[in-house]
Amino acid sequence: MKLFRRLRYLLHSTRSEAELREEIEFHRLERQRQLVRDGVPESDAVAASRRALGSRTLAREEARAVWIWPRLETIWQDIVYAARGLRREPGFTLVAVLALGAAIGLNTSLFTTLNAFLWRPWPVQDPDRVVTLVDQNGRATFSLAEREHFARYSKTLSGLVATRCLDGLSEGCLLKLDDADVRVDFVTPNYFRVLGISMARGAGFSDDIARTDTVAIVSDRAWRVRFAADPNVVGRRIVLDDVPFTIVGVTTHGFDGTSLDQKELWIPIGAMPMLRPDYVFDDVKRGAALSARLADGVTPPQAAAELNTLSEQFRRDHGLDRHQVALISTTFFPNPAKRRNADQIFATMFSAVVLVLGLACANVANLLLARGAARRRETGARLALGASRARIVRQLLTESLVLATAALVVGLAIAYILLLFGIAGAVTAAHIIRSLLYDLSPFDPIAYVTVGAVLTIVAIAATILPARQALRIDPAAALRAE
Amino acid sequence: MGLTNQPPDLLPGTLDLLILRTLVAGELHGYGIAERLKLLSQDVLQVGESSLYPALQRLLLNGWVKAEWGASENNRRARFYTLTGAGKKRLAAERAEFERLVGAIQRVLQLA
Repeated sequence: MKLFRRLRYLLHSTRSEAELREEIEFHRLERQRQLVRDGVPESDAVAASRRALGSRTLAREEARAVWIWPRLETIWQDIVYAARGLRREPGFTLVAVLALGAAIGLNTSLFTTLNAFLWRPWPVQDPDRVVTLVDQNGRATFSLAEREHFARYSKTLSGLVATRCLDGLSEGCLLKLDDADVRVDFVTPNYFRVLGISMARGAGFSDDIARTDTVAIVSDRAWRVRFAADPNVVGRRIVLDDVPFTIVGVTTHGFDGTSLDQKELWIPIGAMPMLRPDYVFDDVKRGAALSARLADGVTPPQAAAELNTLSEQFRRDHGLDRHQVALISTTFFPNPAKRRNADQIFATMFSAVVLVLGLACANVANLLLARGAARRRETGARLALGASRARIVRQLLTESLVLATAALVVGLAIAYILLLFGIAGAVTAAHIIRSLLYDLSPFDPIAYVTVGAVLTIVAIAATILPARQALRIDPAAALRAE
Repeated sequence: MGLTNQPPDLLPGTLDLLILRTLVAGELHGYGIAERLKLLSQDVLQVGESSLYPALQRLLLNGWVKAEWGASENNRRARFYTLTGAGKKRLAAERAEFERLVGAIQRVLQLA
């Protein structure tokens, strides 16, 4: 109830203070009237009523202070006191701040990387229903002709898309756009419809694009980076490897393709011969990566069984070796083996740095404990002077939080530097790493907020033991000692 | 905060008790309370705004009085305070405590 009244006062503080001012002014006026009634001249009465019995400003301030949490003031006292105590013991402070700071720096940089990398959102509609076709070795050894066969006869798939590059599956997906390399994916025209990726601009591909249609779809990211977010980009003509293309769409925000690296442009698979007139494109032999959306109510094993039958048929007709068709869930990692590796590497690194943070916390808790033991007399004196035990615990907690905040500043600086160097390093590293880290910026608010929250918990945890220790202090015994 | 604004001759907390007592007869505005205290104490207790209004706010915060705007005897807008149920209980408790304390002080003074 008291809390409620306090909140209501503070919420309406402007009105509350105006009322208070009016009330005090009324008081003054009444006194002025009284003075006039007592025979004081009008002009003197005004001054006298102003002077009488205390300052009105002080009255207002004191009256307002009643409503404000008395704790705010003492919390500030605690912080100042804690900062002073930490400055008095520079060795302890330095060790604690550096240990915690290094741990926080490592954790933040890794968490930022993870966030940019593994948990990147994927705007594909119902991604659980989208599967990638692989053979028994986890590889995409399918062809466009095999895809045609599947698409024609399959009853378990509601859509089947193929993607490939000019020279194989993932290599050679670079085309020249005004002297710059852009990463391009060649896709069947139904690609965006099957994945449920809508166009932010333009109509996109229609399902019956002719072989000679040179149209392209731009990713939202490329639209911003390469085309300066041009609102009239749809219909614009661009030249890719000397072949003019017309932009017919910009994808929805956040979609960068279905392969491991970040695609910027999509071109119908049929346009390949336009770009490489001297190549011989053998639809039966050349590989394509296939992804499919399962029809309603179909389970992956049901679809796999059907596709295996169809594949056997197709391969026999074309004199190809048989292969097993398996369906895996589609992620950024088309190859499940790569995904597993990445997960393992990250899990290992993550547990290592969490361990480092744990060790740092244990060390700091130990330091705090040693410090608490050395401060028995101080704590005893405060208890003897009437400090409540809650107040002592709050003081310890404030000290931990001040320490943790200092460590957080150091840690974030370390993380920032690490990430800056990490990104700079990745730029010169292999193409694949660069494309993996494209979303990585040295400042990821989610990562920093998470680490901050973890740190607060850690600070509280590190206070538990010293607090228990302080609570057991008998002031009389502590003061008698020495 | 607190002690510095009490009239020097009052024990801490006594002002709150006295204000509550003046409200037993019915609602009063701030000036009225000050006048009543002055009158009843035969001019001994002259309470200034800087102790009266913080005390009233304290009583409001604790829910012992409630305030409503109304018209004063000469038709000016004034804030009138009334005792709440909790305020009546508080008054009884404080009064008992005060009498116990004063009795104790008197016993000490008589014996010493």
